[in-house]
Amino acid sequence: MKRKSIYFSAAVFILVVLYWLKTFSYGPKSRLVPLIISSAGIFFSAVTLLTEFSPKIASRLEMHLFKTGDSFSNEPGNKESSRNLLFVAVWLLGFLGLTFVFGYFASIPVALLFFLRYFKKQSLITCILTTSVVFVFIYAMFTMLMGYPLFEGVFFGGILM
Amino acid sequence: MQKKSNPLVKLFHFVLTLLLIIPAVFLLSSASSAESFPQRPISFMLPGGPGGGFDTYTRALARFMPKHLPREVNIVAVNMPGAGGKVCTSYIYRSKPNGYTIGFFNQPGTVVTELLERNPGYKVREVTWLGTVATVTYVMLVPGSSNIKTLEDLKKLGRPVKFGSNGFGQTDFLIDILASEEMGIPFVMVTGYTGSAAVMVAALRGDVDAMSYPISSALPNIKSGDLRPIILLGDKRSDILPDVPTSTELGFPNVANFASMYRMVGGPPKIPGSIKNVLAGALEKTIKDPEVQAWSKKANRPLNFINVDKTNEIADSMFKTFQKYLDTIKKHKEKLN
Amino acid sequence: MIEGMQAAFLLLFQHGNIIWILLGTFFGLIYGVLPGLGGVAALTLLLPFTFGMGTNSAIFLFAGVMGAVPFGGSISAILINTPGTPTNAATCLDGYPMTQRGEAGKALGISATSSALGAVVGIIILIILMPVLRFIVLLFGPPEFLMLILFGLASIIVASKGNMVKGLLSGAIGIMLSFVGASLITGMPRYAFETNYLWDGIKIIPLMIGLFAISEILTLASKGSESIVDLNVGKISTGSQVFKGVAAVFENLGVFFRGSAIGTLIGLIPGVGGAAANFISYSTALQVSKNPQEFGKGSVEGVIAAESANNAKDGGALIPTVAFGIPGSAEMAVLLGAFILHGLVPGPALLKDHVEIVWIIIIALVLSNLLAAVIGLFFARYLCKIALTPVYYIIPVVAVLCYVGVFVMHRSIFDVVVAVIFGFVGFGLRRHGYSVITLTIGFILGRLAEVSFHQSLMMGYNNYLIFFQRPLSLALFCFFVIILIFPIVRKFVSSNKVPAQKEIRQSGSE
Repeated sequence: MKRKSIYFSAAVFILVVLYWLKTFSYGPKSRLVPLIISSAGIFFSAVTLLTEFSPKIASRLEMHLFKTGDSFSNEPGNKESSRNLLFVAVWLLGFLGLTFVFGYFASIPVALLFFLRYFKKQSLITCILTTSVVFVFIYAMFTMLMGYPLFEGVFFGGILM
Repeated sequence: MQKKSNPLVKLFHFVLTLLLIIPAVFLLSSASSAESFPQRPISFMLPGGPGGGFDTYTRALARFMPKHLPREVNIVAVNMPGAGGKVCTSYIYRSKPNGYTIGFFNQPGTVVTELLERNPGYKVREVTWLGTVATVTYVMLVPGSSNIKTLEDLKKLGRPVKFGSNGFGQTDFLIDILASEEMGIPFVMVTGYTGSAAVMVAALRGDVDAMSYPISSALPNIKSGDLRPIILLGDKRSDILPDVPTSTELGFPNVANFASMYRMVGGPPKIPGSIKNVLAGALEKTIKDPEVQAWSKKANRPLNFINVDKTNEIADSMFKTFQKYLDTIKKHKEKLN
Repeated sequence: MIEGMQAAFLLLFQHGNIIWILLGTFFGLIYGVLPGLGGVAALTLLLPFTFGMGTNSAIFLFAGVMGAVPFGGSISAILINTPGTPTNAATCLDGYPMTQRGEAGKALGISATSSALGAVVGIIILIILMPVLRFIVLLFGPPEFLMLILFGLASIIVASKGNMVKGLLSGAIGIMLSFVGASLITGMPRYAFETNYLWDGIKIIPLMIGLFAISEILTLASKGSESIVDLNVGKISTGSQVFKGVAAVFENLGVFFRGSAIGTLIGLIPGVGGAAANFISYSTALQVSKNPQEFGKGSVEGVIAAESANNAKDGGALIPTVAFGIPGSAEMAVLLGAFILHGLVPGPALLKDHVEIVWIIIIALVLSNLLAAVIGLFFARYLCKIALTPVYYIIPVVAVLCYVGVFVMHRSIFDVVVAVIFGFVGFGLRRHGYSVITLTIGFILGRLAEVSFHQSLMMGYNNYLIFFQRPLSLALFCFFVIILIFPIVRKFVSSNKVPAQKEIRQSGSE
């Protein structure tokens, strides 16, 4: 857990520094406030990174890692939940990629079927039934009732904007 | 006949027939598509979000225009806000020139953006113009409670005049800086307001000294005493404000060249002439439609139609005018930064 | 003014206008529940259909929609941690944990009640202020707005309790993200990688959906949960819980009224009001609560604070809209557009010549809020079943709804990309102890704070003291400082009391 936190905090630190550096390329008025805020950001993220290396500093600054209202304490991830997380993460990205290239009409059924079948093995009938219901709902709701065109996908000529 | 030549002859006849039919089909379809335009709904793009200035004009047009087309199809208003108008304008520019995508162009905003940016995504002078829906004349105003009554008062304020305006690149911003430069008013800009109503409230509050506002939008506030018009930025005095001097009268004829906003309608480059005429004709009939005129008066959204040829002229001359003022605009962009 | 009210009431019972309110409520609820859509989408869709209707009927319809959207959004916020609209985000913070504890019914009950009543309070404030609306709007200029926003930003400090550094860092990151895009002041595009897409900045809806809904999808997966409700809890939400929720609002009237007041006040800041109001109300409740440790775990106070504010904001947003034609929120902007299309000219004249229009809006808003709440209460026990649905249905369905909903707002697939990116970012933030709350607050308020700051300077010819030279600005600044040191003072006062009590006990026992 600690090790993972270091990578995340390091990434945050690097991104904040990059932001701070980019700020200098703008005119004086444009960079005034962003500079102030990102300088504070560098300070805070540097301190955070420091505490990842040395827990002593953390307790001195009274930094309790998981006490903010909406963060959750990490139970030692068992193998099953790590696998779950990886599956869902890849699925989310795959669904996005599929939509980007082929559009919603292709991606929704494929993504749903895939998920229901392989995340927690459902019977084929359940998969197909659920997929159909959701697809019909989306189509009826968005395309027919509301008249919103759904993205056709780059492959079919959808315009990127 | 010999068996060998038979298939070849057949092939030859086949190819010949194809060579004759295919162009004929094309000719027929393009001719018929022009005659049978429109066949399906037309998208009318606008460079703003729902509720804004162009939005209301577009929806009003979309409501009344279909019946003036040779075949009544739906006209769908499509909001495409973004990047100060670049998203909408470049989208229209890149669309297929088949008459099914047209939209509003904010002039001079479109011209200025093209001149200032490296890759605006369009070329204004290649747009197929269909007409102008409204010309907006601007007046320079001060709060009703202010002591300023004339241009001389403005110049003699003793400190730079604070002009309130929308963000950089908006029409009133451009007009403020160019007109003030031209007429010799010392000024600073207070920008970043979203919407002219907000600017007016700033003037009422005393946060800013002056502003530019379309004459018809300002009229109710002039009548109520909240705002006082100082100068009309243009050539001719207005019937609705006959006592306000024009910038030309006051000795600054150049102001009239840039201080108007035009709501122009156009489509992608190279729309076929026949389709263009259908659209331009329908647009003109719609603007002159008594129902539309009635709405225009009631809602205080003025309409004054300018035909295709004149619109082309205005668009071209606008480009040249703002090329001349480009350096001034750039200078103030630097100053603002 | 009274004649306007009477006229509006008469109109209510004519032309089937009640039907339009009903229809509007229905639409508003649906558009509120579906992630990514919201009031603006609903109103824009309905606009062309209203051309054939009378103007008054159209306004009944629109205001009906606007009244129901916030509660619709609360439903998805509570049940699946998906803010239906950005103004429902703070409801996720305690509403969803309540669902996780099996108290979804109670949360829905609280939400319905505080939403409906919060809207009423907002409207009452509007009515009371009607004679002086102009004066109120003229009172707040850029320096005053900056002070109000600072007050909002102070809630970052409040919400960071327990983990100051990471909380403040998240807040700073949120503010930094809000600066992406072309500056309204200078026109210079910042951090936009030369794209048109980022010219207007990161859009709030994809950001929120990502940070809240998609990150929750990942969280559910990583926790290996069976369903949203942690089944170890043993309690399962039932119908009677709903009324416990209703009662809870009346047990916490202080929180409720404070939330409504803050909602109305912040709602009158044009542009940012709605999204910020619920967070500021939440943070204030956190700041003054006697049980701050409950916040984030399913605190009743947290839900009440968020919900009352996000409905009261409509009352506030109407103030500049009606007084000057300055839209107090994006939905108000569409409403004003609808006015114009129907031939009504917004601006100061509207109050004088067409005051019955204002009353129509008021009546429709109140009625649709109440109606939406009743519908919500009625369906609450069925909606709770969602909390028991297996996660392998929830995840894909919510994902599909989010991916589609985010896309249709601006027809931009890149919006979906942003949502997914922030889904992963949000998951990372929550997992490593950063704060999504403060990031969101920073993001909502950052840009407007900067614009107000620069405007104030431009107004004063670069005089940095302008903030302290205007009376209201100075007063707000002092109030802001007081709120900040309030808990320190309270601790100081209570620690002084303890030794005195010890003395009394000692002397008493001798």
